[in-house]
Amino acid sequence: MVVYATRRLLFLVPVVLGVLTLVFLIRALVPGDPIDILFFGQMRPDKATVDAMRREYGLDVSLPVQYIRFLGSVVRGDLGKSVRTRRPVRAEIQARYKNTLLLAFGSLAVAVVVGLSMGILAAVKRDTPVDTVTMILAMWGLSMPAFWFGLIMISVFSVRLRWLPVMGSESLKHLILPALTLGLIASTVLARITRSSMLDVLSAQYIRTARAKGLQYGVIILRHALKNALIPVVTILGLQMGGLLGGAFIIEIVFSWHGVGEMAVQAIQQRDFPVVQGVVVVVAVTYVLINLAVDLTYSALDPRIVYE
Amino acid sequence: MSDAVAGSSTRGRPIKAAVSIDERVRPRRSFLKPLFRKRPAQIGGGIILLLVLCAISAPFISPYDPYRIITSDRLKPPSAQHWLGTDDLGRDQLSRIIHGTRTTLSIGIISVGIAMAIGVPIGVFSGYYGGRVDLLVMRWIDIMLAFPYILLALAIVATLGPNLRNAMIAIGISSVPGWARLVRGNVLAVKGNDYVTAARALGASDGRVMFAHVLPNTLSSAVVLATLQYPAAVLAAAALSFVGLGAQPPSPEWGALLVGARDWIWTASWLVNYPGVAIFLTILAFNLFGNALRDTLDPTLRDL
Amino acid sequence: MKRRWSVVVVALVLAGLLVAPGWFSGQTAAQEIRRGGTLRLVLGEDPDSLDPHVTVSATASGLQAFIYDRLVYINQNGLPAGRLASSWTVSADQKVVTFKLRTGIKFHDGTAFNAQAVEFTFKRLLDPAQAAPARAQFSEVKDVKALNDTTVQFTLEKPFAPFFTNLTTSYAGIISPTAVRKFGKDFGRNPVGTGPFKFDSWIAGSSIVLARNPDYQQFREDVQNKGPVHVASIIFKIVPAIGTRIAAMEAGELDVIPLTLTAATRFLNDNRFKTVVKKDAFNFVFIEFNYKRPPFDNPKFRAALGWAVDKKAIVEGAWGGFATLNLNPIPVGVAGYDEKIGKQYGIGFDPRKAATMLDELGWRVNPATRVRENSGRTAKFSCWTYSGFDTVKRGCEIIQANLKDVGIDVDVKLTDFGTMSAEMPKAQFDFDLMRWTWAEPNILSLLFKAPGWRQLYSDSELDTALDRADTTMNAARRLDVVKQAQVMILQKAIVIPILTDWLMTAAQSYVENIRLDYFGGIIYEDVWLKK
Repeated sequence: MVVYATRRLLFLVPVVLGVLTLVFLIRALVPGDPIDILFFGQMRPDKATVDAMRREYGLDVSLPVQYIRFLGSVVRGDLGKSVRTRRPVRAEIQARYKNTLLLAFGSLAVAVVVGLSMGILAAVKRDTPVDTVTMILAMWGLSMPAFWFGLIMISVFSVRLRWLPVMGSESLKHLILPALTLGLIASTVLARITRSSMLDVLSAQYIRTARAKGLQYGVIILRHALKNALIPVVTILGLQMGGLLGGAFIIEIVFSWHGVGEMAVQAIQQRDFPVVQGVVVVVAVTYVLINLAVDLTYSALDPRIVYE
Repeated sequence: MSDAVAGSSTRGRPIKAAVSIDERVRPRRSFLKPLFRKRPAQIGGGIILLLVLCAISAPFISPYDPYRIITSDRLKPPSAQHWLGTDDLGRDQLSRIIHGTRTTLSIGIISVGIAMAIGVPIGVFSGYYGGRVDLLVMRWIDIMLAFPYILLALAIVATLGPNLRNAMIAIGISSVPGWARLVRGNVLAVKGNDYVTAARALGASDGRVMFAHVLPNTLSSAVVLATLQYPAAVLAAAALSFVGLGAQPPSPEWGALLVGARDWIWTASWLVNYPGVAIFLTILAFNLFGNALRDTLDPTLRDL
Repeated sequence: MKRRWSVVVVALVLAGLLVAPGWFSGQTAAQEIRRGGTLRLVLGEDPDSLDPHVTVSATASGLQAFIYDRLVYINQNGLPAGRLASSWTVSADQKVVTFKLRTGIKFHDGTAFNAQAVEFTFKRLLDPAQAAPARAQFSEVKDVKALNDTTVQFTLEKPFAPFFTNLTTSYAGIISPTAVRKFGKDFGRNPVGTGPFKFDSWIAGSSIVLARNPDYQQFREDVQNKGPVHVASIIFKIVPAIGTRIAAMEAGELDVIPLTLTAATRFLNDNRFKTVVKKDAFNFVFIEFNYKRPPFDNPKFRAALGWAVDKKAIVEGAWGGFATLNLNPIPVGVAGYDEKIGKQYGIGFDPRKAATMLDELGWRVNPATRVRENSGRTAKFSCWTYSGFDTVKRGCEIIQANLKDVGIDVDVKLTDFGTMSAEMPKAQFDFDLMRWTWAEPNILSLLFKAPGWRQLYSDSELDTALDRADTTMNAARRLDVVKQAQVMILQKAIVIPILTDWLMTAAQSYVENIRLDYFGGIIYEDVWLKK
């Protein structure tokens, strides 16, 4: 197990390398010089000033050289300096990363609690109105643009009812609406998977055996069925996390939830490449680690799954 | 977006502890009848049909010219003259939404088409040949999946030029890894089947085996994934519009309409709600239809 | 018992009599200014730095104006007046300006404000090693010297008319030498000046807090409050999305927000909010061209395009009516603006005239396509503008529709600032819709003096005129030259001016005493919160 985990962690290296190379390729292709953008729409400083700025950011050397230098600094843990604020990228990301994680895990918590309950309920009460309603809600969630939903949530809960704040990421109270927005939508996917997985398991031989033995239904569900039903659910959870990390930027922008996604979008628009690179590295590493965690959870859930 | 359904596959992870590969069968020719007996397929299919009709007949059924600017008619709420109200330049919203049907449909077709055209062959080659090629392809897929798609989309759009067509290409290319992985999984499953071994024993070339035997068996999952990936493509296009990289004015693409109206939600909510409803119904239709399709063709694909 | 009660009653009645006058005069007497409270304002993004020698971003300058005082300010008559400086003299050759400074002023860190601090500030600004972006605005300054503790002398290369206005910008804020030596490169995150507010804290990406400077003395005559400000602190929340700001304002989470079109429609006629509108603002919106690419190198062609554009429709449709039609190539609020020039030389709206001009230039309508052609070339062009702003986006759509009416096909390209700034110097566009804000007549030089801010234009006749405008120190004569330059610009159709949009702000009803300075900014030193 440990060997497996170590081997997977080693895979981090080529993945990160690949990601960084891709980002650098993009820099080469995409038009837009960060120094130009800083002075767009204003008086342009004289050449000496611009040259000095280029030197400061290492933009005065050729792209391949920049690439090598960057790889070297990443190994040392230095992600460069933001072109816009001149602060270390690590500091900029550190300030916001925990917010993005909070949002991702918060939404995940909502999704798990709501989704699993809905799924189990629908499976247990199969083919009754409860089942149909649950599945209709699930359909709604899959089809609802998160962005629109977020606006409606703000409209109802913040502006009209004034129960919750509109924006910001200061307190846990600020987390409620954005987490609900993403979480409720994600819960629907989970609900469907849980339901079908539970149905499979419930009709399996060993469950019928347990019922024949006279075990209480509730015990059956919780102890036997659920553990096995969770396997596909865990898969989807892993993928959801990736989606939540990457795709939550729209929600971050709408709710002014100051996370890494909001910063990344601004950085892209301003061609603040050091920041973009830093965010990409951090997100990629997180994603790989989460997948590793998911795989390890599998073997905990199902002893039949063994990794060499 | 967080729709994990799109572009996902089970990464070769076990979904059920014991599933017999041979239970997967080729799609029966007669799958259409049982398909349309299901209610979701009827509803979904009906909406899709409606959308296609709208797209085809857009110039004829629109009450107004969707591009006509009449500054004195700005921001009118829904009324008898303008069923869905007017936007901030006085253009009739109903006409714009009808014309937007064309764009919405083509988004799905083009991006999913590109993703399939590139992803399926990669998956087939990778799964069939196995070995080092397969390993390399899987690592590449891991890298691509770890890469935030908006960055990829930006790169492609900024290089080619910011317009809707390039946005669709960008979305298509970002979906390739998901497709490759799914197809590869299927190919791996089918590779060991008897009829494949038989064909090769009979001397069929690799290419023929791949295209005549392996590929058709991945068809069902491919079709299902296509219908289910469509919504993700539509949402991704809207997200790109959000950042200014999608449809350019005065295109009535629904995502652009929705995003462009976001500041008006309190003063002119009809500008946000109707495009939102249109997107919602479209996505819903494809999800319903895709689910029904999947249930008919191959219930073991429930993990999609 | 009875006696005790009567005493109480008498006491109550007496108390009532003492207080009663307050009941009635409460509404009519001047309101008691309540001191304290936190004012909640909004920023569109994190400023990159609060060091005036490091940044020129608009976001940063807004904050810097609170933290750093300048030597002079522009009073309500549009003339420079003393702020940290009490008076000044200009030498006969107009190249030496000597300021006498006020005494008894301290920086936020307790150190003394004096001429050496001023010298330090400007030497740092002009130091090539510092690479201050704002250096270019003071390029005419040859030397700065502190003659004694209270006198500082500026020597200019040649007379420079915008000198005083540039001194009022936040880039010319006086910084504390001690703090700079102490913080070094981190000074931008720990700014220290002499302003009415001092820096308190900065949560990156989230908010910035400024606290009241308890030792502040106010020398501006356009400000009523001569001492420390009324509010205890200001918190700037960072909210890029306009929709979120509107919602926050509605929900009472922000106190003052600048209004764009969508927000204006919401708040301007709502009695629950106070609104301020400044119509003679310092911006203008215009169409500019790629002068290196034919047919845009021909002034007649540019003029023809101009006549085809319905500028009133753009005012109404794109800006919702919250703008003033402006045919002058200079903002309405800037000195030198003269409506008569626009009326006489301006390019208005006359599609028939446009059609005739185009015909004369050889662009004939192809009846099959309804698009004009000239020697095989089709009239299909691209119009660029920056994304993220509804107003210019709609403006482009209207231009597109107008030009289609005269047989010219236009592709609208919305791009983010980044792509735009990279592509345009490479001359990949045909024309674009642009907006500039600058409060000084030298906006003409900034835009049009060769090679033009896009580095695509040069005209020696105009250059000479603009040079004269920049070096004429006599205000009245200078404005004459500025007007001449405008006429030249219009005759050559270098740009097609369209409008000046209004500066609008909304505030919660409990924000009291909102007054504007010469530049249309709210004087926050006078504002207080009634809650």
